[in-house]
Amino acid sequence: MEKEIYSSKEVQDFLERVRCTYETGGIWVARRFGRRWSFLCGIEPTGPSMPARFKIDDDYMLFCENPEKISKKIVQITNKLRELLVGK
Amino acid sequence: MQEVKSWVKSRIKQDEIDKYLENGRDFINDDEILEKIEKHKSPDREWVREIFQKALSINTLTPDETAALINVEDEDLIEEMKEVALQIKKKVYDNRIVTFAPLYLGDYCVNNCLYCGFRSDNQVIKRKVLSDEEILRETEELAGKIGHKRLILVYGEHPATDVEYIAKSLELVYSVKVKVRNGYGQIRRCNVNAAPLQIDELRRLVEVGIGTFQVFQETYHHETYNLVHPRNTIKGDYKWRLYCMHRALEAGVDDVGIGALFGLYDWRFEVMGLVYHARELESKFGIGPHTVSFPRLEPAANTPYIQEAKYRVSDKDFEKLILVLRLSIPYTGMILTAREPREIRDKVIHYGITQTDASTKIGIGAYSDRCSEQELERQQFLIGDTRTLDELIRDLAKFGYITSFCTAGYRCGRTGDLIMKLLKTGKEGQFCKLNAILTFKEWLLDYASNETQEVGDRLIQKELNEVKEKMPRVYDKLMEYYNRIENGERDLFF
Ligand code: SF4
Repeated sequence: MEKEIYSSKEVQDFLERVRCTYETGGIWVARRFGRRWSFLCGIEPTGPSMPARFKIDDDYMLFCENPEKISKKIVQITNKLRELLVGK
Repeated sequence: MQEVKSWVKSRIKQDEIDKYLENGRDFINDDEILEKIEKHKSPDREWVREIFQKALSINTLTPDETAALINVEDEDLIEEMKEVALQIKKKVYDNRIVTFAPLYLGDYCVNNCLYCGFRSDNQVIKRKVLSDEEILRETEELAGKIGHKRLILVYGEHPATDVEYIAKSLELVYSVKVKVRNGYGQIRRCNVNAAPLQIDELRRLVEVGIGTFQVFQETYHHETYNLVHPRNTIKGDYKWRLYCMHRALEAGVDDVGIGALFGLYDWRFEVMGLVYHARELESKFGIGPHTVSFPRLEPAANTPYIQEAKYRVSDKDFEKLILVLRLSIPYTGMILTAREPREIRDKVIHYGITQTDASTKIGIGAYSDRCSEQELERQQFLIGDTRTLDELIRDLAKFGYITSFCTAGYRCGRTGDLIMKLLKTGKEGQFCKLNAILTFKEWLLDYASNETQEVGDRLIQKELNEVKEKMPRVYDKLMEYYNRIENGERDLFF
């Protein structure tokens, strides 16, 4: 009996790898419901900062604590996440 | 009438209860609870202090540990417990208090709970369900004039306020944006207090952005439950209600709020029931309750059951039960409502309360009516503290509490499992501190009376100094946001 939300190990592992490679600190995916964003999976932030947001698609957003090093690779990363989350 | 009857028949889905049972039983074992309360009658002082330490490291207590705290009678230990409660609150939530208002949308109800003014048999109640226009008017008053950012929407169980009505009302409330003194007023978080729903219905509420889904078990004691909730009503099904938070979490609701109506049965039993409930959710879903509520029975129109109730909770026991709950489920939000009189609220607020309401009106349509008197035939019960939001915020600020209107978690997906981790590790408190300063400043600029503004600004200055000293890394960023807010920007957050 699990919460019926998407929280595949694959996405979690992928975010873990991104965090290590690009030293992002906290990095997580959230899903939009009405006006709010609801946590889906990922790694919690290490401390207070306004997280950077990267759109995955209309329903999903990537939040990241230290975005400096992933900015250049962000298209590949969000594409991969889109593939893992919605299969395209 | 026939329609209402067939609606009632369609409500309980037995398979949405049975799937959660273990060997056909629910997780509240009355005998076990009573045994534990009895077994730990005179807890050893050293053990009690060990329990304090465990609670201080933000670990949920076991039922045995809670039973031990319930039985602490030594005044010195109770004083220590007050200290511990405050330290836990500080560690998890800092000196922040969240305010909200209840908005009652309808008082039609198919149930017949003996203690409730809205029960279907009660002929003296004036029944009403708010129309779309009335919902908008109430919200404009709450968000535009009073300055609330969070509401709890309250519904009776009736086809007139079914899930489609609830979803529509959430959308209407979220749609309101009112120009205020310097910025704009808007409800940023809508929690819902309604009857237990089916999984698909809960999914519908997730889609429209429900905040916390709150349902109180009223009493965890099976026999008492059956006594006060007639068997031929929906609410007469103990398990349908008990498992509604399982269904909510399964449906993807991030935050659930549990509670008991204290005074129906022995308060010690109810505290144990709440702890069992929290532990059950933690073990099955990895998420405990976002909030715990502990309302006491209050007088209601034409409801003699309340006067005759033999388990009504004294002020002294009320204080103790708050302390025990604070220690037993240390990460959870604790809601103290305006049911309680001002003197009690001013006292127990220091025992680890995190949320409270103000400018409260519980008559249907009462905010936009601007009626200042309580009218019992329009209300579920009588409220005890009628302070306005401005007055309450000022009083809290004098006590050193900052009122936070922060809903940043919802802006960036810091919810559910993630917020649980942050709460348990004490990290959420840091976000909260910064966001509390920013949202409090917004509120002072947009709504506060001169007197509240003065008291509030003094508190903010103290908070800013603390951030400068303890979190120098973020101080410059905080000041940047703070100055932007003073210049008219809104909704900046960490
Ligand atoms: S307590 Fe709730 S369910 Fe029971 S009669 Fe009152 S409004 Fe209806």
